[in-house]
Amino acid sequence: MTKFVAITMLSMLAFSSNAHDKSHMNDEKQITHIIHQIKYGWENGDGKPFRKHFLDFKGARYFESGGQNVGLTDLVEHHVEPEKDALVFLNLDFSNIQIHIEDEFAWALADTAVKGEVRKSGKTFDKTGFQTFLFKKVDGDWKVLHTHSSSRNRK
Amino acid sequence: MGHALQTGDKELARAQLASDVMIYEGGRVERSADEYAHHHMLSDMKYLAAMKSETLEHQVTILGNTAISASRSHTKGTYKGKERNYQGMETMVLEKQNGKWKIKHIHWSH
Repeated sequence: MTKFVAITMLSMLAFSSNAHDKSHMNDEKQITHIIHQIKYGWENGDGKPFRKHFLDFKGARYFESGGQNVGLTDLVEHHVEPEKDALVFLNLDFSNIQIHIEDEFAWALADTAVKGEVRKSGKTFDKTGFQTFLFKKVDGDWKVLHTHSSSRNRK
Repeated sequence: MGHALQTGDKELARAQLASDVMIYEGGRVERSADEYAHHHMLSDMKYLAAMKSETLEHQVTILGNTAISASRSHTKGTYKGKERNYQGMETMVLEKQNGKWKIKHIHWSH
């Protein structure tokens, strides 16, 4: 009887640990997918991934170098979407993505490489830098709370 | 942390950091508290001692054993003969370790 109880308990522990690992992997997959969607959004001047994956709340701030967007609408309407016409092209790469998950909060760090051409001036830019993403789980889905990017001319 | 850097308190600054803190600053990355303490912390302290910095906005959110801080500041002064006057942004992630908050990540930019 004792052996049976011990085996049952060990099995439940293994199942629970396995389930936790799978849940953690799913969280990482979801967050990675969101980051790729953000890349798509920036490259195509498309606000839809931002409206889908960002938590729209009063007090939201998105930092880029020495500036910020105040709120999700400001980010989409005054930054993401206008770049579609302002730039001939924009290539944005996130690499070396590191994801940290703590219950209902997650943060991700990435190396960035961004290249583009300004339509009006014809100037091109080629920069490398870093990005910080902060996430919160809301009703089972990860949502972006805050982003912070910075870069400098490629050396 | 800001106070420790501005006043040149190396011990206090180091004590705020988790040992595996990741710091993004000026296009560079430091991947541990020791790396930051041995490389750029001293130059950051010298720089900030010469500057006047005013916090414009600061938001802190606590989610369980994690906290996030996002702030914007205005910094001005003269350093090595150059006048500086700019808006700076700071994002931090903190984690409660053994009852004490430790900084796990800092992203500074301007």
